[in-house]
Amino acid sequence: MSSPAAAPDDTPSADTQQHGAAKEAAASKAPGRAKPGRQARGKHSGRCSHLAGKTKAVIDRLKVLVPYASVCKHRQALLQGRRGGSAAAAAAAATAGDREGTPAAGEGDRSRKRLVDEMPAPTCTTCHTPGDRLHACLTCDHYGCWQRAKHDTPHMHQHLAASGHAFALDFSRLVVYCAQCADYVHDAAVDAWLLGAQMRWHAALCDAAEPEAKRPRIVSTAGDLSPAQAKYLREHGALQACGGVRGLRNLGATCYLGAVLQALAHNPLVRGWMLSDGHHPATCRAAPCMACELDAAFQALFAADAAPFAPTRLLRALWLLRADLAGYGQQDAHECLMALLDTLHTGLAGAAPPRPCTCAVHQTFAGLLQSTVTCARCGNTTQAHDPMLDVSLDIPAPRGVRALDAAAVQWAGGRAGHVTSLHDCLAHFTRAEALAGYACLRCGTPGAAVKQLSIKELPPVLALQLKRFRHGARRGAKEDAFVRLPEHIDMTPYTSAALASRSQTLAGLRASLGHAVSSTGGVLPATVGGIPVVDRNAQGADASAVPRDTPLPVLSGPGGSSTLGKRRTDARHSNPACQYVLFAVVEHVGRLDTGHYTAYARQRAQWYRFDDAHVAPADIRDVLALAEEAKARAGRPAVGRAYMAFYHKQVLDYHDGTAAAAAADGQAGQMGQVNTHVDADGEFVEDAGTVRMRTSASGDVRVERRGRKKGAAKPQRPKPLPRASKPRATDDNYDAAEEGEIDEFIIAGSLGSAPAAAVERKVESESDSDGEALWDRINRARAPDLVPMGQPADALLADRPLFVDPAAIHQPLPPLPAVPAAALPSVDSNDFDDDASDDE
Amino acid sequence: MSQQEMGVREELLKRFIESGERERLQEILRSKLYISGWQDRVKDKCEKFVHESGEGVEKLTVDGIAEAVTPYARASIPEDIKAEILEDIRAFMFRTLPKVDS
Repeated sequence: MSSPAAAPDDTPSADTQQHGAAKEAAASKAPGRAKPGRQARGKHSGRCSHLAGKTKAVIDRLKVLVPYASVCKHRQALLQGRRGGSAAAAAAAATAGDREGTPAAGEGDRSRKRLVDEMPAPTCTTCHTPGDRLHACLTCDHYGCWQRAKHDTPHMHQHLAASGHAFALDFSRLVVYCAQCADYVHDAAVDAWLLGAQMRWHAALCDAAEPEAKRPRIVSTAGDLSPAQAKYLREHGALQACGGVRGLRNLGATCYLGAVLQALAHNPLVRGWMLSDGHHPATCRAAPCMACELDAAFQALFAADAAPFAPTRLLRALWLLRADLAGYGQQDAHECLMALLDTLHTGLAGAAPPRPCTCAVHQTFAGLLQSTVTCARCGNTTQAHDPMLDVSLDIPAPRGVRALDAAAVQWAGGRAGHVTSLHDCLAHFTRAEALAGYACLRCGTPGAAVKQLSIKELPPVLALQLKRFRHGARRGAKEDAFVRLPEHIDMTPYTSAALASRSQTLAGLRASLGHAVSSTGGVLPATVGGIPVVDRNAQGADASAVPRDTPLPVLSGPGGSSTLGKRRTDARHSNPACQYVLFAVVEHVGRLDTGHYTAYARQRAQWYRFDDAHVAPADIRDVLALAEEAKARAGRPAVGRAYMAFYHKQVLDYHDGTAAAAAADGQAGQMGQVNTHVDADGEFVEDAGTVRMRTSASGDVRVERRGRKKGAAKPQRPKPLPRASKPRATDDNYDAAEEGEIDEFIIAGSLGSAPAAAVERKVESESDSDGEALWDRINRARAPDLVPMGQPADALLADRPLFVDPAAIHQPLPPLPAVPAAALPSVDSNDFDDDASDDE
Repeated sequence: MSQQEMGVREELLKRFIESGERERLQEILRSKLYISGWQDRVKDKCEKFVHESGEGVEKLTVDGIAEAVTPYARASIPEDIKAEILEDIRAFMFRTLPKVDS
């Protein structure tokens, strides 16, 4: 939502990229290299003066190299998608007795071979090894490795020195190396281009990793502005200094509210929505309305005022709306968050929300939980899906209690001072549980079954709660165990697709071959070259314990959960759409009945600690509690305080009503066909396929874009539709979605950016061709008796920092003659295309 | 190492890369290291190194930092993750060796 440079440490390129992952030694260097890249970008000298003058030539060369590198790197992942449902393919391959452990069935093998033949992996020109941090010369066709062991200087250095060529590209990390700086360098133009390229590949890889996945997409981040409104803002608006680090006064044991509000205020999607006028208090008739109060609170929090803010009105609204939270008692922060989200949803979406709800709350937090129950007798599985707004995780016992775990620990060399990580909690959450007395629908007999939870759809913002408060029958207790929260997390292993794919492969292989099966699905011979092969599953005595002739539950055998838990990350491929970054943590100190909540949150790549009215810059070390972790590792008691953690996706999926989406949507083939009606609420609704525009009597305009309809018959494509509206297209990385066939708009995870970005966006979003067309149309088609837009309560809005006066915007537009909607041409596509080609 | 062994080694490495297994294991390893908190610790170490090196940020290079931090990073990889990845690599070798020999 802002240029990638705004939050350099969030860009995917700064992540670890292991080179010789096979050799963990090589891998261990990676962050060491990644980190200074980030440093370099922050300082001015990260700019390379040598590169600055040659960006065009370098980018020309990158245009050839980057696709090649991407294909080499993601070959297998891309092919997996082409084969269709990977789980099904894997199971089929496994039961067919295919000895290839990977789900590389016939067709996949063939096309992979073709791809390898066409684009063989490059090797070092000097020593012909394919690995070892290959770099490609950006001047000639030379490839060089970075191997140091036997040579004084890496082969790539030798080449650059000998030939005098200036730049090289790290082939797997896609970073430019400058020979004269003797370091990796960054240039705004080159980095923007690289980021755009990565985003394009990201989309392809996400689709490949989960071909039929319905990823929740952000339909719209806020009320869209018309070009006229944008023009007005540009001319009359003023940008404010950024706030966002303002304390919240404690109004009498309301630290729970303060902590949750801070976490919400630094949630990039909620913040973006609220600060860009996603909800108009002036036009809202509900009272009390949580959305209005939150809007006011956000305005105050992000004002350039440093004095603590007292959210009295918000608290009052909360008490009125939720009687159970009223009073001066101490409340649970998680309960408070749920209440806030619930009331906020009501405030934003009204009484009858569409399904799926497109309000800011659901676009941000809503995911889908899957519960799979497998009958132990007949292997029949049933799945149930439940919507979720957050995930509540139990904290499992810190040390392996069962013999199985003890064996695993011993096998791994006996670690002392095990640290419970978030992985343990998530693995515990998605473990296979034995159900007793389950009545199977197929075999009809009550009996045992295995139940497993998994995440079917991951939300853009993942809210995790660690269940620290246990309410027992007699007395409750607080769990103080330390849980290590990672800054980055890959949620792929806990998704339904990954779990199903893995267990099917295993079950199929076991059933068909009866061999000991390694955890990767490969079949291990008993010995190789006289060395006995240790299979950890067999050692764990769960795989072999299950008789081979009984149908295996799809989700691993009974009792297999602990091994599964350990090995959960063995999903075939990690899905790039499942990568998350931490942005807020709510902590609790004290006991069950009394205590204090504080929050950590990230704002513009800087962490802050919010303790009621006090705000102080914080270090990521404190957020992750590295000191406590060191204690736990040393075997000393460590206290865990983290109660809730909020992660956002590294790359967001935006869905905008693009030409492709419109074409896929049966009725929207003809843009001219617009249904207009006045709905029950007195709103003027204009329905144009994927885009629906509502104009309420009070002047509130809302443009909704609906998701692509799945399974709708594809109509023959009519005339080319205007290209996607790109209201969020103010970034350098914007060209990501302009080229090619990508139908979603994606912005890199530079979410730690400022509210100013959200405000600026208002000003700059003028390339909104959809919106423009609609705006035109609504002007022409509006019946004269409808209340025109405008007449807002000016007095109410006078103190709003950036306020659009609809009346003022409205006047410059000349009155348009009434034209039948069907006769409207699809305007503006030319303008937009010009822009697009310029960017390329 | 004999000539033939080198040949087998190189062929194995080539297949390791071209089959995409290396990238797949890299992804898995990365995800495991993320969630174990290893990455945060190494990043922290890098930051400390940058702060402590008196010569100023200007003179530091990526390779320099990598060299300094690698021993720590290597040593702090959780044993179980190391073991799992090694096992995966071994499984790949067992699958592939017969094909290479023939």
